[in-house]
Amino acid sequence: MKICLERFFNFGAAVSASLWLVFIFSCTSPHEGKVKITFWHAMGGSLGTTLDSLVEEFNRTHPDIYIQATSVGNYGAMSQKLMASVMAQKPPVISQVFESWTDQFRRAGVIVPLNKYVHSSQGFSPEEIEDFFPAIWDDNMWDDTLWSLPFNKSLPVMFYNLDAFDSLGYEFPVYWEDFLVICSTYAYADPEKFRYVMGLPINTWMFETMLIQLNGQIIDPRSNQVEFDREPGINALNMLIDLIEGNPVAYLSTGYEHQDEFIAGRAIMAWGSVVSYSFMRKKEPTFNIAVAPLPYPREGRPAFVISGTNVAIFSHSTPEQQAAAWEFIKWFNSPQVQAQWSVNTGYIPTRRSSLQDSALRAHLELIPGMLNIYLNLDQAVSEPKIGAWFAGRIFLSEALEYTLRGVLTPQESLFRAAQKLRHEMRQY
Amino acid sequence: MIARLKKLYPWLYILPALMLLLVFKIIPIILSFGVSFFRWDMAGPSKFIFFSNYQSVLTDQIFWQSAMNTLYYAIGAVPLSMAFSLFFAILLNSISRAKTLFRTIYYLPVVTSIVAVSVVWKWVYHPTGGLINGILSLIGIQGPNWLQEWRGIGEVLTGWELPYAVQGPSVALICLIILSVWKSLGYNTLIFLAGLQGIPQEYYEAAQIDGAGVWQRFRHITWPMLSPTTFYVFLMSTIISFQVFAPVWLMTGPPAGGPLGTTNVIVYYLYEKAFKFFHYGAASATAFILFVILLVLTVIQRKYTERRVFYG
Repeated sequence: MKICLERFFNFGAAVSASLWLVFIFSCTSPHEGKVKITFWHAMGGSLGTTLDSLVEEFNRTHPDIYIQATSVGNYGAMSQKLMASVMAQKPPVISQVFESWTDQFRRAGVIVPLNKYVHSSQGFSPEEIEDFFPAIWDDNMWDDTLWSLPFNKSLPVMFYNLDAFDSLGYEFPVYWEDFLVICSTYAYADPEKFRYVMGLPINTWMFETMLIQLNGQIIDPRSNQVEFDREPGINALNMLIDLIEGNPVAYLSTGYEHQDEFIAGRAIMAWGSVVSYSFMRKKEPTFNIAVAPLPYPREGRPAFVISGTNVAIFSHSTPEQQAAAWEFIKWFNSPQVQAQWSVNTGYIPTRRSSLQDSALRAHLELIPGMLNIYLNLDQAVSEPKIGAWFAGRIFLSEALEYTLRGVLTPQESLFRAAQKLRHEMRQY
Repeated sequence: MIARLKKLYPWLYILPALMLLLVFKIIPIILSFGVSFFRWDMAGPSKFIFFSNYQSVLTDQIFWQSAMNTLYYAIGAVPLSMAFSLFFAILLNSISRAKTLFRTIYYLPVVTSIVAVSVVWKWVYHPTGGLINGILSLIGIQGPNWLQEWRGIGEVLTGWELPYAVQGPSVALICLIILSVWKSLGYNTLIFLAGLQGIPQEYYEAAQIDGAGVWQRFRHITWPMLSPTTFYVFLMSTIISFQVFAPVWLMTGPPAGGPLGTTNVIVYYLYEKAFKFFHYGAASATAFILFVILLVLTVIQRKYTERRVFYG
């Protein structure tokens, strides 16, 4: 009995020792000796898979650097984690940031200016900087200082049922006026099938684009004055009202309902981010989807507002980490990687020369209308990059809701939103 | 020596719980009180601004709208939830068979995650594919878009265009009140049931011999004997309904708190201040304003309502 017990304990000791050995070995990092970069992002699903494979490629081709990409959930969770990590003085080395956050971080000295890298031998040549789409590059500049590099950018477009358009022999209109005529034709051509032409969610992005198309400005970047409550803004809001009032061609929808209705074949078109295309395709609609730029008024100009994040480097890191981080985000913004990123995610490339990439071209030609969107990326305008803009967007969204629900006139609601934003801006 | 050690025992026993409470509750509360005096954005504190955050919250129209909505919510949810819970508790108390089964059924919503519940109720209220409008369409009524109806209940019922102040809660907010009553029913029923079971059976027997009817027995025995329980449920339900957040965040909008801010409640206002505007100072100030509101309410409840409580 005693021997038996002894054997049992010996065996137990051996097992536990081997478990410890396994544990110790697994704790030894295979990345020792490399410069480790923690990278926080909010790319979920297939976007995350694409990012992971690009990071893996970078790690493979840069043996001295190890990028550890961590998905921290959505942008809301990300903002909370970044705030907490900055307070705890343990932020990641790099992270996705919106312009509004960058403005707050740069004022507090939490992120590093990138001028010393961009103008060094490891940086970009003037030709390379020219190669970036101007709005995408300027989005990262405050005065003469570069604070971040672009990461994921998208733009608002119109998706439409190509089969429905083909059956009537129409092409998607370029001008807003023609768009309204075609919408009303459709709205009453087949009321059994299509209740409305489209759902209209309360969303500032479409309004901002229409405002720019009407030669207006959200905020004047030179004088820092709020401008969206002037005439172009009021006209843009009236254009949206035209869609839902009188003989309505659109109905007020919420969230992504307008896209669901479109995919289900109950609406002829849907407004959305260019990235939505791949999500729509996954739902396997029974018709062909085409994409077109948002129509603009005859007296206006073709333009659209881009949205998305950039990547900044936090100052709590070592100089080696900062240099390695720069190398990564610079690599990420190389034309080839951008083309690859664009093919797999639908985000627009940051550089003009990416459009020469044969794989990207072939991919774009498969989607009716998409190449045309990409060839006009020079028309992009960026959102205001002030710390108060996140609040501004909420005020603007309130204004749209109060007007589209018929409670306030465009003048009243936009003025109220602009006043709130002016007050908010005084706090920065 | 041993006697002295023994005196330490109780402290040792409560130490783990005390530590958890200190680290995760008390210290954060004290720290957030400090935050409420600073201008504090994503990058941390930038300036000590005394009471400016309190002033900015208390002069913000949206805050008062959210306070009003919260009040509507509490006025709707607390009495309804209490009345239904008491009703079901009395029913459950009087049946002799399958008591446990029914108790479990009523308790199920309480233990179900609020996220799952909100998703289901969002479908219940859906304008085209939802349960309520589906049933209504069977009898030829086209139901409204419940969660997007911003008009006040006063205006919807009368058909008159009323000024905002007298419209009452929006239809969307009433939808949330109904959800909350359903969700809290099981918990309150259980508390009432415990209270009912504590009432000695002799009282009822004596009353019955004296010829008291069902209503008289309820009015003169159940109600007074149950008053400590009722008071507890009243106090807790009020506090909980002033802290409502999840259904607003999960079911309304986008943007949440809509339509037209008619479902925006104080805690959602706080959330928005912190995580959308990045005004952590103002958000902390809101939390302490809510704390003061609840403190005052509780004191009033204790002072005026507790007089009617019969502790036996």
